Amino acid sequence: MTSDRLLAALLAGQPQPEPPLDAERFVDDVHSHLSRGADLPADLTALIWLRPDARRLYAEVRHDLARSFAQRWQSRGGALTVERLAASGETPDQDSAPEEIRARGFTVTTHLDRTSGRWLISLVLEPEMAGELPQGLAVELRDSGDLLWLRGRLDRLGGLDAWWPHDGNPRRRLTIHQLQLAFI
Amino acid sequence: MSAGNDIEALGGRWPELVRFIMARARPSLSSLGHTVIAANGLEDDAWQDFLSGLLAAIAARLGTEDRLQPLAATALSLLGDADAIRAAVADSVPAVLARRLRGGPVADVLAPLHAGMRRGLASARRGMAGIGAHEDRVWKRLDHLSRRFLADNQMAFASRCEWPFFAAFARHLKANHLADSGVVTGVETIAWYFRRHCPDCGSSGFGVDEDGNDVEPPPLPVGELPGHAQASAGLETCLQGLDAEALAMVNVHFSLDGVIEMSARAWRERNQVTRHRYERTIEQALADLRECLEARIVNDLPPEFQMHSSWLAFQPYIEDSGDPQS
Repeated sequence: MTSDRLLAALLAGQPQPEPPLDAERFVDDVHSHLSRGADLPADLTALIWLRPDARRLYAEVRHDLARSFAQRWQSRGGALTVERLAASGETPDQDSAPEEIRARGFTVTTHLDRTSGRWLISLVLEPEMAGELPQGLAVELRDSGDLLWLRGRLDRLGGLDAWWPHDGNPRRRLTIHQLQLAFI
Repeated sequence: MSAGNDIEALGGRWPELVRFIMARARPSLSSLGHTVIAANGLEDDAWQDFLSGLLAAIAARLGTEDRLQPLAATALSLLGDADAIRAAVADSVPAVLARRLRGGPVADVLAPLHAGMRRGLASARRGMAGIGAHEDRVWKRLDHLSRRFLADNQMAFASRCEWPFFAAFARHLKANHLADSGVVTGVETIAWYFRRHCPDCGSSGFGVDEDGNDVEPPPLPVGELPGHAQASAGLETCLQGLDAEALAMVNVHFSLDGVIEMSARAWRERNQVTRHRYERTIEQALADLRECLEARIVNDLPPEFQMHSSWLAFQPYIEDSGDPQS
């Protein structure tokens, strides 16, 4: 979204208002809403757009929740990295048939769209765990070369799909890189 | 209830307690930092002034805010073990003085003092929560060995509070320190120790790096902020309020939808606009858009929050009233 660049520029230049924010109460209430899967009420949401300090605290709460969720994910056997196995590596790099890369707790699919020549990347988390991801948290998929593949919020089925945002061939990157899942 | 019981009763609210104390310590810590620099060390009078100010700021919350009463009461108990806190703050003084000599922003110079305060609180907590001598000894050993292990494997781990680190550290301990009676080697046990004691895992809330600096998470993309759709819609309306020239420049500068991408320089040359005028127009347009967007956000609040562009709309989160656009 190109207008996001403009929104980001507006927020980056936003001065910090004088009246002090009650940080404890703000963090407490944001944490309480997100951890029980509720949307933030209108006044908390508005504060996030009106005050740099509120945005920073909101990011900190999400960071805390994401870290806790990642630990819970791992303690229940979920993986945070996956490699393309030799067997799946037999799929030709330009084959338009979807290729699934499975890890404990999630699956990544690469699919070449012949019409546009673009790669579609799909991430699906196991529904049981995806349903426990706190409200507002996003997931991110990067390869071990620090190239971002996907970032965003899961849909109701625990999935996230997007065009691969780079030139080149994602399957070739998987011959030398792992994929890493992160909660953010 | 004993002080140790206060801490145990707080359970998972430890990060909140640290935030509560640090929010009240921050102004006095800056003063303390300047005094430390002027005196070239931490003197008794300066420490007592700092501690008295902090205790008074926390005591002021007692009886006035029901919700914060348990935190305030526990904070006062925790600060009763001021020796442990002072020791950790004093340990950070050489780093402050060294940074002062190197120069740089005041916040950077004073950062070790803040980190020292957080470490001191964690240390006081260990003392109050009745952690046995054995547990304390094991943690100190793990803390020391893990810092060394992390330094040797800097590229592999983002922090000491992630599962891959626990697993790799456990393997390292089994391979190299199995005979060391002061360490544990089970990955679950190691995770337990780190989650209970390591500042990276939440005693500070957001971690402290190897230099003692506070680590904050990076800013979130605007697309991930709650209310993004409404803000985008509001911005679209605000854009319509710009005059034609400003709108054209904003379109080019931010490559807005529906505009053929063109470099700002090419656009300026084609329209014979100087760089100075272009930049000033963009700057003014951003200020106008920000003001418009903020007013829309406030005006779009449901009726129960409507207080006509005043911070009163956000009570109880804002302690004072005023105009959000001021």
